[in-house]
Amino acid sequence: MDYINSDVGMDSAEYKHDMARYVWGFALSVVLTLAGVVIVAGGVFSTGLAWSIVGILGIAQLIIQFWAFMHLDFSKEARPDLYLVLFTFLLIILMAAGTVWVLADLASRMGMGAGSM
Amino acid sequence: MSNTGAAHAASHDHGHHDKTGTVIFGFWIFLMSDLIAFSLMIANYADAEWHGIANGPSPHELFSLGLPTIETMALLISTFTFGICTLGMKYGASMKRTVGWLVVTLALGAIFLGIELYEFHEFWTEGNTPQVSGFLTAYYSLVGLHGLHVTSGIIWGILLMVQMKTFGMNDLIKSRLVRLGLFWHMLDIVWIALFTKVYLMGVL
Repeated sequence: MDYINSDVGMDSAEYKHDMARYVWGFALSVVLTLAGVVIVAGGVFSTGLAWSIVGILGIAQLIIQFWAFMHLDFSKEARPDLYLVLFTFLLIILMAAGTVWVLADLASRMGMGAGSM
Repeated sequence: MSNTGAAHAASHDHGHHDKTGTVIFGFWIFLMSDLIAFSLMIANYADAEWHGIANGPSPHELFSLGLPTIETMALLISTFTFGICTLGMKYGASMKRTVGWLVVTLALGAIFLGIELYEFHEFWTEGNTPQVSGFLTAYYSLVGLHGLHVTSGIIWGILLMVQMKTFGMNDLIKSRLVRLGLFWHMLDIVWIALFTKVYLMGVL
């Protein structure tokens, strides 16, 4: 894959195909963002359920944006990037979840309870 | 690989392609290290929001969704316009068109930044400064770190436009524009996480 130069111009099928990917990514991102806002502002669901739905919408949008804008997919060209991203998320889960776990444990040992929640 | 060092303008120079690919992959590694930094700031924020309210306001009392939603839309549109910019560049668009979409993108980034600073100013004048609670410290650092990235992206984009005017659209400038594009798309991805955790879940 060439990142910066194409053999064909902006009237080609390749350009339209690539552009369609950006349009889909943008449209889905807008829908997912507004869905999250509506769920929070609407107050139809219980707090716990709304929290879970908003979290899932956020993760869905992350995946869509990695696919649409940063060209991450299962193609041969994108594979090194994909492995790098997956390894990074493994590190993130270990470090971020570990941090929250240790700090929450420390807080409970100090008798701080669950704050304002 | 025999023609390395010659014929930079030719689009079939494979030695040059490999270098561009390597440089872009290297930039991905930087982006991922930045993503780790952001994720740990979010972990720190999640704990401060839970145990660090002290006598200050809770996220529920502090945040509303109106302005942050507009802010999010501005950044989302800007990531799309950057996509139009780099895609056109790859398929041989004129420099005028490329610069035009870059200007639109950076202007949307400036709108995003303006709303963020307005919100900081509002909170600050209400007495909700960083030293009030661990939660507010974490809030200003996390959202402010993202704002600093957007600021860097805008300055970087302006410098790149100067380089375009000076050197023309050669392969090196094109590769730099693609890397700024990746940086900008990454900022939008990080903001989705911040918007979800800080504002949506904070208001709930």
